Amino acid sequence: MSAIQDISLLNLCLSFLALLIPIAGFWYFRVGLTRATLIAVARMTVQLSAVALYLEYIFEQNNPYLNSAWVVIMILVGVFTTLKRSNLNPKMLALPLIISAVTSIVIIDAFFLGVIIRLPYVFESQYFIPISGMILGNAMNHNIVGLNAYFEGLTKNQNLYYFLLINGHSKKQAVNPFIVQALKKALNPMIANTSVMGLISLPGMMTGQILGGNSPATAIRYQIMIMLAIFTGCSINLMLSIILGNKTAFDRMDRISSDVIVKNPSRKQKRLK
Amino acid sequence: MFEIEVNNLTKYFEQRVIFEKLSFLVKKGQKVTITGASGKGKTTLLRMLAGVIAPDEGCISFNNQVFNSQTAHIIRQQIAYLPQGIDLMVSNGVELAQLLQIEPKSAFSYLEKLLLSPNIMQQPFAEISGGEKQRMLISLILSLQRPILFLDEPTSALDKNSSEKLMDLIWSNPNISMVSTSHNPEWEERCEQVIQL
Repeated sequence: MSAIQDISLLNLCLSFLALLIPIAGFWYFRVGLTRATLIAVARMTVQLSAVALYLEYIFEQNNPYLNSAWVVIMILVGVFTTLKRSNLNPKMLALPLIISAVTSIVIIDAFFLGVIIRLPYVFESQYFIPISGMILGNAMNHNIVGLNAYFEGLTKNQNLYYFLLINGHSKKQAVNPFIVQALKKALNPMIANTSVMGLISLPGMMTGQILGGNSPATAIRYQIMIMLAIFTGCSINLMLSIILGNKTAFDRMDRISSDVIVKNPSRKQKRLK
Repeated sequence: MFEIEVNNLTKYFEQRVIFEKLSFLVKKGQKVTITGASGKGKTTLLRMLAGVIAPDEGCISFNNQVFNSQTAHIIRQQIAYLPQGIDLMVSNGVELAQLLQIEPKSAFSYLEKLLLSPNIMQQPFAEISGGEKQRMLISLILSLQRPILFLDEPTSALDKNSSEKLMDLIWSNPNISMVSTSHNPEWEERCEQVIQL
C-alpha cells in the first residue's frame, strides 16, 4: 500500500470549481438553490477547518477529560439541533434526549472500543472521538425523523391515542402504534442502506481507511463493526429518547402536553406578516 | 354498575366560560345525554368525564372514587368510549379490533343487531359509508363489555332505522350507565336525564 497522497491547499481551492457545474444547472432550471448551496459550502469549509484545528490539539493532548468534554459538546449540539429541527420543546425534552445520547454512547463505546477492538485505553482520541462522532451524527439524523414522526403523530392523531386511552389502555399501550410508526420511519432507510452496503455504496469510513493506506480487508472489518455500532447506537438512542420523552411530555393523567411541539409560524406565514 | 358524580365542574377557554359550577349525578344504569348548540362544550364535557381534558375547577367521581391520576387507569378500564369524527389512522375494523385487543368475532353479534354483515370488518374504511363505520365502531366498543358508556354523537351518521336499532341495543342493558352527547330528539327523549349546556 502506498502512503496517502496529500492535497495541496491550492488544489483544494481548485476543487471548489466543481461546484460551477451544479450551480450552472440551478441557474438554467431557475431552481433558486445557488445562495443556499454557497452558504452551506462556506459553512462546511469553515466548520471543518475549525474542527481540524481543535482535533489536532485534542489528538495531541489525548487527555480523557478533554476527549470526553469534546464528546459531551457533540452530544449537546446534536440534542439541541434535533430539538430545533423537529420543532420539539427543549424545556420538556432536552434532558431525556441528553440522557439517551449519553447512555447510547457509553454502551456502544464500552462494547465496541473496549470489547471488540480491545483498546487498552478506551478514551484513545484516535478511536473514541471519530467513532462517537459517527454514532452521534447518525443518531441525530435518525432522531430528527423518528421524534418528529412520534410527537407530530401523537399530536395530530390525538383521536387515536385518546380513543385507546379512554377505552382502558395504559399510556404505554396507547402510544405503541405511534412508536411503531416512528421507529419504522426512522430506521427503515438505515436498514435499506445496510442491505446494499458495498453494492451501490462504498461507505466513508472504509474509503477513508483505504485512502489512509490500510488494506481493504482491515477496512471492511472496521466498516462492518461501525455499521453495527451505528445501527445499535441509533436504535438505542431513539428508543430511549421516546421512552424518557414520554415521562415529560405527558401529565399525570396521561394527557399529551400541548407544549410538546413548538408552534413556530411557517416561513410562508412569516413572509405574509 | 356505576354511578358518576360531577361536582362544580368549571371550564374556561381563553377567558370564555364554557360551563361554570356544573353538577349532576348519573345514577347506576341511568342513560344521560348532554345537549346544547354546537360549540357549547358537549364534547369537552364528555372528554372531561373521561379525564383527557382537565377541568379548571370541580371534580368527578365514579362510585365515590375520585377520578385522579391514581385512579384514572382503573376507572378507564370500566369505560367504553365512542369519539366524534371517526378518523383513527387504521385501515379497517380488524386492525381496529387488534388495537383494542379484542377478537373481531366478539363484535359479530353487535354488528348483526346493528344491521351489518360481519364481513364489513375486513373492508377498508375508505370503501364504507360513514354510517357503517360508526356502527362498526359502536359494535367494537360494545364488545369491550364495559359498565360505563361514553358516546359522542352516536347517531350523527345513522339513518332512522339504524338509530332505533342502536337505541334498542343500548337500552336493552339496564346495567350500563351511559353519558352521551346528541342532537337527536328521539335519543334525548329516551334518556332518563338531559343535561342542557
